[in-house]
Amino acid sequence: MEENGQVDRSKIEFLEDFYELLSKEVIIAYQGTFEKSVLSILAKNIETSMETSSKLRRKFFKMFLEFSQNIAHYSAEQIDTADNEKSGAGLLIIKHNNGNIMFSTGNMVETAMTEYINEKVTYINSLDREGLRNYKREQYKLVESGERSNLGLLQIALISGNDLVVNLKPIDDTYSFITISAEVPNDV
Amino acid sequence: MENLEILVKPGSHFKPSVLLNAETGVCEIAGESYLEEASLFYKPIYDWLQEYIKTNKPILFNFRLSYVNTSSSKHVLYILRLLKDYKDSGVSVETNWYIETGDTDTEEDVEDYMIISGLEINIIKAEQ
Repeated sequence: MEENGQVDRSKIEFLEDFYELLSKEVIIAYQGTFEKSVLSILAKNIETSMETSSKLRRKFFKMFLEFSQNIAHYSAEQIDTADNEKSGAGLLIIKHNNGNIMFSTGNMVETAMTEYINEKVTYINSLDREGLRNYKREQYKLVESGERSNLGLLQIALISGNDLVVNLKPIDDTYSFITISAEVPNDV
Repeated sequence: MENLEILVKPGSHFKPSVLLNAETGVCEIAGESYLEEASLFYKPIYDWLQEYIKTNKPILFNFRLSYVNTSSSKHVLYILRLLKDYKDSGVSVETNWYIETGDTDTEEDVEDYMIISGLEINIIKAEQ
């Protein structure tokens, strides 16, 4: 409402357009923490709202878990949740995009990490499927020895069969906002 | 020795169900393994297996896992390595991994587990 009591029409029209966009293209849009109780609700939503084969639903579900896990672990915004867990906060959008299903996440990262992330993503995108699988087997060895791995991003590249698209935008001296996207063809 | 049974609510996306039968040697882990503290979940399974291998009895291990997150994969590999050592000691060890037909992502994961652990795993495809 405006100060004089008149409704701001442009705001309402924006909401109408936004609602239409959400209902036509967006399957899930969520912003917040990614602890299990939240994932459980989102997972149920994916199961019921994505009308597709069980094979594809499984693929989408794996993509959803890998992306969510990435935010939960690596978002610089770590928040105490109601479940007495700590979870990273961020944004997840799953939407239709030219016949594909697009998964996108956004979260804060320490700017000091951005070079490392860019390097890893560039390397992952340079590999063909066999190269990705060899690299994954190397990463499993790191996991077994308790070291940090890039398995999550690698799995996203393997499951989607497409490149990862990463954008980084500095927020201040310490933090940047990172978006990661990958698309899965809706007919594999 | 006792059986080990971990039941989960149907439709749980985070914890797999477990049934390790000490009498028949038939063991099964089924479902999805999305665990943050995977070591807490898998510890009783190792302990049980360590105890079982002392009996030198055959074992049939059926995996029906369709999703294994990073922290769980470490423990799955540990179990596979344990089964490999048991098999190498001359005991009959059969390992099956059931996957949904067309789930090539899980199939590739299992192939990688085979290469890393050196254990032969029968991939059994079934409609779900």
